[in-house]
Amino acid sequence: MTTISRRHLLGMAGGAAALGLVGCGGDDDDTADPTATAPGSSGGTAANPTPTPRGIKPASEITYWSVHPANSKPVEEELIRRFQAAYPDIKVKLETAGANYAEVSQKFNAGLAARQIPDVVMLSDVWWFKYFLAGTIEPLDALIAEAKIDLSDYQDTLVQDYQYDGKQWGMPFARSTPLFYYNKEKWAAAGLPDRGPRTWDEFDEWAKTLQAMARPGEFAFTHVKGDSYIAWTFQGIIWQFGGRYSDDKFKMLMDSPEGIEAGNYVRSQVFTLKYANVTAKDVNADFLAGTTYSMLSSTGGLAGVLRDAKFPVGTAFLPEKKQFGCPTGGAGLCIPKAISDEKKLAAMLFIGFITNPENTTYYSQNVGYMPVRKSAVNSPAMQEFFAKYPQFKTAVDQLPKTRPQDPARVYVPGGDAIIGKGLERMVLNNEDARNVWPDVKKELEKIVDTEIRPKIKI
Amino acid sequence: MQETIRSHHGTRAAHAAGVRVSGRLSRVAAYAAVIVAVGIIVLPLIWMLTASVKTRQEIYTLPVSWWPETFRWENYRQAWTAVPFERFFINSLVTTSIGSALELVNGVLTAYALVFLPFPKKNLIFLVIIAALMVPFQVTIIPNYVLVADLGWVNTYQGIIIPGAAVAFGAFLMRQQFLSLPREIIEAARIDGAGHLRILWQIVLPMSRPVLVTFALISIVSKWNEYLWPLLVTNDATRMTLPVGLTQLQHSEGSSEWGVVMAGAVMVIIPILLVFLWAQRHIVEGLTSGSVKG
Amino acid sequence: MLAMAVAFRTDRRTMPAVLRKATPYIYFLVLIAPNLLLLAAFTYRPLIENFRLSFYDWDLISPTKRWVGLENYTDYFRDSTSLYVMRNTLVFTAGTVAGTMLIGLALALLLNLRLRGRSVARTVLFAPYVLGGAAVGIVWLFIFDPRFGLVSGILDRLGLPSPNWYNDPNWAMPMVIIVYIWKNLGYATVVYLAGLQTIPRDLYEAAQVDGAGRWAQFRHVTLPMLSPMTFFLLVTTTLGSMQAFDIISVMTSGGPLDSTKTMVYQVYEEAFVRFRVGDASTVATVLFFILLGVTLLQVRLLERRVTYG
Repeated sequence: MTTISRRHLLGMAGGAAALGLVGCGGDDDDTADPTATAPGSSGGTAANPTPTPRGIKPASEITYWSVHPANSKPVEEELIRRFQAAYPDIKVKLETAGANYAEVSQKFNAGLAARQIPDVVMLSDVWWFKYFLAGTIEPLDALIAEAKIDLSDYQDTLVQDYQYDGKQWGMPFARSTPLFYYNKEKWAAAGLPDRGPRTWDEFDEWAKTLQAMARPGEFAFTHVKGDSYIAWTFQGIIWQFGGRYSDDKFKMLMDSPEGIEAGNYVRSQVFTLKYANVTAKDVNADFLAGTTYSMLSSTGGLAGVLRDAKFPVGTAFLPEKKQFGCPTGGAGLCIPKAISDEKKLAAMLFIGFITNPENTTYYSQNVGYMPVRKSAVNSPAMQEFFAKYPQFKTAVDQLPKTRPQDPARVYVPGGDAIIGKGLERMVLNNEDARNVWPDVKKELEKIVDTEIRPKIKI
Repeated sequence: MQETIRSHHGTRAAHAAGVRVSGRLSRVAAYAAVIVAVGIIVLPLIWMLTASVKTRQEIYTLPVSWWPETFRWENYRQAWTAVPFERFFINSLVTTSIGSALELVNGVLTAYALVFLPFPKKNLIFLVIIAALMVPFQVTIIPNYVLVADLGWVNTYQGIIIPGAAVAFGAFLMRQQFLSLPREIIEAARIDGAGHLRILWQIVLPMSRPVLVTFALISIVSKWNEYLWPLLVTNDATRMTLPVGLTQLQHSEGSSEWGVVMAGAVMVIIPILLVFLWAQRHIVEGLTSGSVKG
Repeated sequence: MLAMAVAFRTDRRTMPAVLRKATPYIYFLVLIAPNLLLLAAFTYRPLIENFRLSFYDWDLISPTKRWVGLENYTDYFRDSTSLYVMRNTLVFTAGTVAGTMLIGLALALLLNLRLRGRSVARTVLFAPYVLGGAAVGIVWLFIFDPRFGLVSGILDRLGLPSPNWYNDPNWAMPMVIIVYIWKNLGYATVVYLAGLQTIPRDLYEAAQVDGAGRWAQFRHVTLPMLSPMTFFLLVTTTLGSMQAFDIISVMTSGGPLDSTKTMVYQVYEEAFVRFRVGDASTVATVLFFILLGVTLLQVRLLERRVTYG
């Protein structure tokens, strides 16, 4: 494959949501030089010979199943090209395994049954644990050491999201957080300061003014729904109220007084304070159309929103209540267990390479996800990027304040859907959280008892 | 024997051209009804066409804009180049045409046997075949994938085609059609000493042409749009079919570039619509050889 | 080839009596065998496996399964959500089958008239059927959108309130029913059209001679002669509706609050989202027997009334 300049890549990817982020594209430093060794980079370069611990050589070809989130296929292809330039003995085959994370999972299931598995597979935050439970993915600690990957340079929360029982089960790759987006024009029209609300109490005040000037059908704020992952955005809120979905031992805690307060709060936003509604399907679309003035939405959509908005867009940390709370989300890369050691090693080298500082910078700038490395954040390339796109900087600044997600949502199979349905009962049906959370708790506990407890000690 | 068939067909051919509408009022009413019906049904399609040349901002504007501000043909170019469109198209062409052909043969032979050949408890066998329509795809998809993988057919044409070559609805449809054929003609042919193959080829099939073409159309549509099975069975562009390839245009987190997605969808359905337009003649005209104009 | 070989063998003079009697039976088997074998391998085998799995607790990827006997079934029938889903399935099916067949018949009759441009009209009416389920879902997502959608635009113009299609459990079901009918009309229309073509003209002429008006002709000639197709459509649209998946998956994901969740969606969710294969197989088995029962009922009640050539 001939060298592809970034501008050409941008042209190819065309409608990719993230490309708006880079905008004109050509001004950034060319960070595509694979032979440069940035501080803290790992995984070998053309200058370093590939490691051969235990006398094993990495396999000569590996397969990578991806969803290409945010239309990122061309970017992934570039990353592969760089990797193959740095590791001429290893070929990577990129395969589209589905249009979304659920489909990748289906294909992976089918593949496990038929012994047709890839060497690197992209699994999202709510999917990977099932494969861990079934014993089908590899613990990566030994491989990380062998590939000489500096785990401490990865953003703490992102790495912790994939840890269980003292082991590392996946590496962060396409990660995002919820962000508070607001319509600066409406804010200005309402005489509000040009920032996000610091607390929900402050927002309740602001929303009064916003809603007073809203036309029929418009709202100061819009919640997402079950299938648009309200269980994810709400996770931040329940933390802010001092509650949790569950503790790390799978003890369900959402029906605590704090959890009930949080649930009834979002319910009151819709039915009592009447400044919020629930999206029909796509909250980003609502925001872009101007029918909602603010929202909690993934940073993964930031590029698309910035590109398509006809008004200036503001971003801010999530509002606090008693404290700050914000989860992470997105997908990471895992290695199946049932492949040869050679393939595992090659897979780990690949994963380590594409998440090294310069490559995570490249990926994040071109696709819109968070850079997964601390040192990437401080690099000159990134700083210049932030100067141009302060909204993106907000997202990255929020990252160190995030926490790993609660097991109830991400480790319990189907947990996200069950919690989402419970939240829908509150924000669509106006049911009291006092009545809803116990039902959610019961359903989740049943799954934990039948499916998780027999397999692992908790 | 030929004459009997011909005269029968002549009568049918006359009807096959359609019912004449007599009376001015009836004509106006009929046209109006057609326009209303077509209009209602076609609106979403028109939306799809106009969306395929809009930018995403335009799709999301209020009030609803019908006529695109700019004709963003770029969407089509993007859809075409963002994925290896020709390759997908060829793969779809191969899998659909072979798959449908196999389905047709299976369906016709099964229906013929069920209707014209003696066998004890035929109706039970018929029910068993219909039962195949009661099995949701989630039940079959993984066991079949395992079987196909064991046969070494992953990422191959046969892996996509063979599991779908079995047919239940088509056998059902042709059975209904064969049962409605006038018995006398078949009996007459039998008495004349014709074997089953001849009866099938020279009598039964020609007299069932509209339904046969319908069967073919439904089969082609179903195979052309198949998504989940080809997604599982194929790994890369060498064998991936259009529907699978086009989902790469969608975006899993955040909003997709809907104009491009719609452009892709339009490009997928155009070939089938052309096939349908062409096949219209065969559904309507009936016999072309030896038909008497009524 | 094999058929021809068998055909050769039916030379009456040289065959023993037993074989002679069995020969037509062999013919039958030969013609049916390829299809039946494929069905056996790719449909019946998984079906039986599915039935077997419903007695286990399994997550699809572990090497071990746990036997639970009838527990999955008792859990299923005691679960209020499952029964609600069953109700949804029946409502959805009834609505879509009735709508598709009635409107399909009307359209077929209309398009059977010798009007100009009917080929184009037929193609347009068939086009929704040609669209893949996912694409249909996406298009209608926009059409029903409460702000930019056609539907709310038209309702506004008529001065009617716009229901909250996506977030109101009472309206989500009508929404998916409408979309499903729109998509499948073409199927019913085309089948009925083909059926109409095969009705002999002389029957109508005979009826006219007897003094029958158009309505009587319809009732006494058209409908009975269409009955094989009606029966076919009734069975296939019922089976198809009860297994509808794509549109619901794209538009509502079974929500809001499970109001559009059908049994097939539940099978998908149990198997592929919750990794509970035993439960998924249970629902699939129950669904299978419901479908079998409904079809048998239709066969028993209706096939008697069908007029064949």
